[in-house]
Order: sequence, then C-alpha cells, then structure tokens
Amino acid sequence: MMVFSPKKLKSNFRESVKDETLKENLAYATGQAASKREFLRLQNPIVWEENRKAIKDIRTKSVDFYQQLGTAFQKNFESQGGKVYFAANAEEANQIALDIISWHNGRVVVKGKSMVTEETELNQILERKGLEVWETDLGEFIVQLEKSKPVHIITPVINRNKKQIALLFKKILQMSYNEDPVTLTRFARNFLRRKFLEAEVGITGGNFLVAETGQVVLFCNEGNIRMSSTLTEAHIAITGIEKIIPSLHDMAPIIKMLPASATGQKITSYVSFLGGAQSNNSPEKQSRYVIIIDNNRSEMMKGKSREMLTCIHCGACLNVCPVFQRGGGHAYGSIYPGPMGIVLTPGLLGVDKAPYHALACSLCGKCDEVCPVQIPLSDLILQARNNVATQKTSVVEKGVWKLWSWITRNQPVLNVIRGLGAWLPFKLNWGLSTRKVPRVPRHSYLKTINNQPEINSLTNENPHK
Amino acid sequence: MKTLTNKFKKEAIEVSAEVVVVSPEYLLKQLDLLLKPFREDEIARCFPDPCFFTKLELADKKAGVSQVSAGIADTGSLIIDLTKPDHLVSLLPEHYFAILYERDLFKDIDAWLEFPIKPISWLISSGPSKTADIEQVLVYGAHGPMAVTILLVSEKSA
Repeated sequence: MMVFSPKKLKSNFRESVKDETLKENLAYATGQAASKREFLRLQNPIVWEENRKAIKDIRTKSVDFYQQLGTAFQKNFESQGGKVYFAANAEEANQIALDIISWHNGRVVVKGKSMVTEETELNQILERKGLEVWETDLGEFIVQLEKSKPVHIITPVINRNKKQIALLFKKILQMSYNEDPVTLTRFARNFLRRKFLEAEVGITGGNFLVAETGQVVLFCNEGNIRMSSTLTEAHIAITGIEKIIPSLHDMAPIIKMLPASATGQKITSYVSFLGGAQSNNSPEKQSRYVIIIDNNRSEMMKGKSREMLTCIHCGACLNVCPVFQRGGGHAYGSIYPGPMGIVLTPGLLGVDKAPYHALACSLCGKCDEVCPVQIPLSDLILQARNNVATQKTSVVEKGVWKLWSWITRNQPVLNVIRGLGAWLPFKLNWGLSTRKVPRVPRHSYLKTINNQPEINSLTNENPHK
Repeated sequence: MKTLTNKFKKEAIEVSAEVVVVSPEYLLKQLDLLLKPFREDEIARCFPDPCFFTKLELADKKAGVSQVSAGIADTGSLIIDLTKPDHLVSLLPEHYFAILYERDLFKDIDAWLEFPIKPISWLISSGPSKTADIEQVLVYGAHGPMAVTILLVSEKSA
C-alpha cells in the first residue's frame, strides 16, 4: 500500500479540491445520506441512542473476546458442514483462497464488495494466476473497468457522472453510447448475469459472523452479494477477526442501525444469514468457507486505537466529515478514507507506514456524533497525532518546537527576534515534517493596534475607557 | 392480527414492493390473474407444487412464484429459507411473486430473531434489488428481481 508524505497528502487534497465535479457529487451524495440518516434518527431519537449503546456493548464484546468467539464460530459453522480458516496475514489469506479455488477447479470468480480483500489485494493475486475476476457491485465494477480505486466505501463512483460511465462502457464493453442510468445498469446486469452463471467460486466479505449460530451475515442492495454467496459451487467469505458477534439477537440493533447509518435506508434489500452449508437437497450443491484474517488486528487491539476495531464500516463518519466532503477518498491514498480510515490505516499498517493520515482532520467532532458504535473518533485521531508526534518526529524537529515554545513565552527574547527581522524563523523551518514555524511579526500585537488610526478612534469613543 | 397486516402492507410499499391481500379461496385465481402477462414457459412456478429448476433455467424466466417462510411487519420484509431448493426463484427471475400467509407475520426483526425454529441459512428480503451507484439515480433490478409482488393470504375469518 502507498505511503504518503505530508506534502504528498496535502498536494493530493489540493488536487481533489480543484475537481469541481468531484466536489459537487460528493456534496450531493454525502448530504443525501446524512440527511436521510437524520430523518430516521428523528423518528425516535431515544431508541436511536439506546441502539447505539447496545451496538457499542456488542462490538466491545467482539473485540474483547475475539479468540473465544472465533473458536465458538468455527465449531458451530463446521458442525453444519462449512470450513473455517484463520489467516495471520494477507499472504496466508490469499493462499487459502487460491487453494479453495483450485479445489473447485475455478476459472471465473465473482466478487461481492469486500474491503478486506482490498486490504489483501486479492484481485491482483487471482488475476496473476490467470483467473477471471469480476467485481459485481455496480460501483466496484465501474472502478474495476477504470482500473482506479473506490472514492467512497459505500458509494464507490460518486466522482463519476453518467457521461463518463457511458463512455467507459462503450470503450471497454462495446456498448452503444447511452447515458441513461437505467440502460447502463441493465447493460451491466446482463453482462454480469452471464459471469454469475459461469463462475465456480464467489468471494464476498463478511459484515458479521454470528458465533452462536455459526452464520455469516451479509448486507446488500443490488443482489450481487446474494448471488456471489448462493449461486456458485463454492462461496468464500473473508473477514477480520474483529467481526464476530456473540449471539443472533445481537443482530437486531445492528440491522436497525447499519443501513440507516450507511445510506439512510431503514433496511437493505437483502440481509443474508448463511450457515455452514447452503442446502442438502438443492439441485446445485454448495460449499462454504470462511477465512478469518488477523493482518495486524490483534496487535492493534493492544494499542490505544483498539476501539476503532468496533467499527461496523457504515461510512456515516465519511458523510459528515468536512475534509472528506471536499477531498473524497482518493486523496487519502488508503483503502479506508475519512475519519474511520485515518485511525484504522495507521492502526493496521503501523504508524511507520501511514504516519500522516491523522493530519487530514479538523477535529470538528461531527463523526463522534453520528457513529452508530459511539466510537470517540476525534479522541482517537488526536491520539494518532500524538503517536506521530512522539514516534515520527526527529530530535531536531522536537528541538525546534521546544525552542519556539520557549521564545514565545519570553517577551525579551521575542523582541530581540523582532529586531532581527524575518530571517530567523525561515531558518527554523528546516527539518520540519508537518508544519512551519509561523513568522514572527515585526511589531507586537499591542503596537500594531495602537498604530491603526481606525482602531484608535474606535477605542477613543469607547465610553468604558 | 389486522394491525400487523396493515403495518406490513404499509412498510412493504415503503420498500417498493407491491402487496395484494387475498383470501385463501381466491389465492390461486388471483395468482393466475397476476401471471397473465407472462407466457407459461416464462414462469417458474414453485407454488402450490414444489419445483426443481437449475440456475440456468431460472436465469431466463420472467416471473418466479414461491411461498416465503415469514414476513416482518415492521420493515415490510420477507424471510426466505435458503435451504429450500427453490430459493433462487426469488432471486433470478425478473419479477418475483411471493406467497405469504398472514399467520407467518412477525411484529419486528427482534421477534423473528427470537423465534426458535429457523433454518441454518435464511435471508431477509425487502423489496426489489436496487442500486443508485450511477449519479445517485435509483434503479430497480440491479442484479436481482426488478419488481416484487407479495400475495398476502388473509386468515379465513377475514
């Protein structure tokens, strides 16, 4: 995964902000989702808060007892005929997926949207092995054709308009040019329908795993995840160790809050609960596998950003984030953007690999208000910044700031620097990674306002003087 | 019972499903009437008699009919048993006709989750499949059915 220097991060955002189409589409899409969410919340704000509290408790248990829950899930899922694998890292998970595909003589693989497989870069691995891989979520399908990256975790192509998509379909899929969204959707439906029927293996993420019943829970609107998980000979669900919830009734508040927080829907078109085997009496038999991946999550649980792993990936924090609304997902240069992403990315990769993400935040705290799991995002972001300050800052840089702090607290020294002019502060900027030392103004604040005639006249008229 | 039925109707319409309330004795007649626009070979009929279609056969059908396990009044949702051989009837054909008996209605998701007798794989289905990925324009029939019609069979006493 890419690592950005603060300069690159800044120039990324500067580029994104210039893109008027992107900004307009982002504003519309995030605004819509956020206002629909608010509409649902206002129908019963008390129950909404109760549900947030309930989900927080459930997800905290998921993280606290992930090992026990993993064992329980494995036992129950395998007793129904399924198979569970635990993978320590991306390579292991990808290898297991490759093995399963080869057992089923897979040539065509259909995929439902999965952030974890973006994390492990599974698609690239499968394609390198000569497999035909299709992303089947319409947005992800467009992203795949474009060979780009999703700009939003829930609505991946809000940066594109229908003209661009029509041109893309014409160029790559030889569709005659038509920019009607219905026609474009139908075309993709027919194209992918053939792939669904051809595919031997379907790969999806796993929104949740239920330990008590041994079920994989999947949410979708398009029906593509339902197809990827029930139509093919083999279904592989890949998800993180933090996604296992204790019991089935824990799903009740989550079903009520996840679609509401993500898109402002009361419920998605489909919520699947898939046990270890599809069925024993269906004409087409199906095997189901679950790969539970660690990929540094257990390390992250030991640290201060542990709470971030209770996240249910709804994207509500993205939709209200003033930085995300203007910059979009690409600017962050990581799979997980927005408030959740800037905590999760350094958490999963280590501060060394993604040191400056936490700077893409104004600490306004809107994300804290909307998070359905009550994750104190702005606290965690502040914490992530502290990690950067303590771990990624050189001795020279720390020294510069110590000196700056001492200068500003000592009037006589400050006056000397004023006397010297502007050269010294410029020198001080050497070796700084994230921000510049401000220039010392020529005159003090008091002197500045005393020299301004308008201000003087105002103060003279002040009767309280 | 009636309040549940009314709530279900209202919420199912909210998620863009069509609801037809019918008494048991008129169920088959009503079904034939609804299926009139389709040729017989375009229909996958899995009600009242069970059926066996392969996924390739189902993918060409215009209409699919099957009975669902339960309904959830609070969200206007259907519960589909994925261990039954006919579960793809509710996914692959363009128009899905669900038969739902009033006695199978649950008040909300909580009530269904507490219900002790459930298959190992099942699904909550609410309205037709949809997407708004292209310019946030809502389009029905992304990959699954473009339309869902629910025949809600009322109790005899009604």
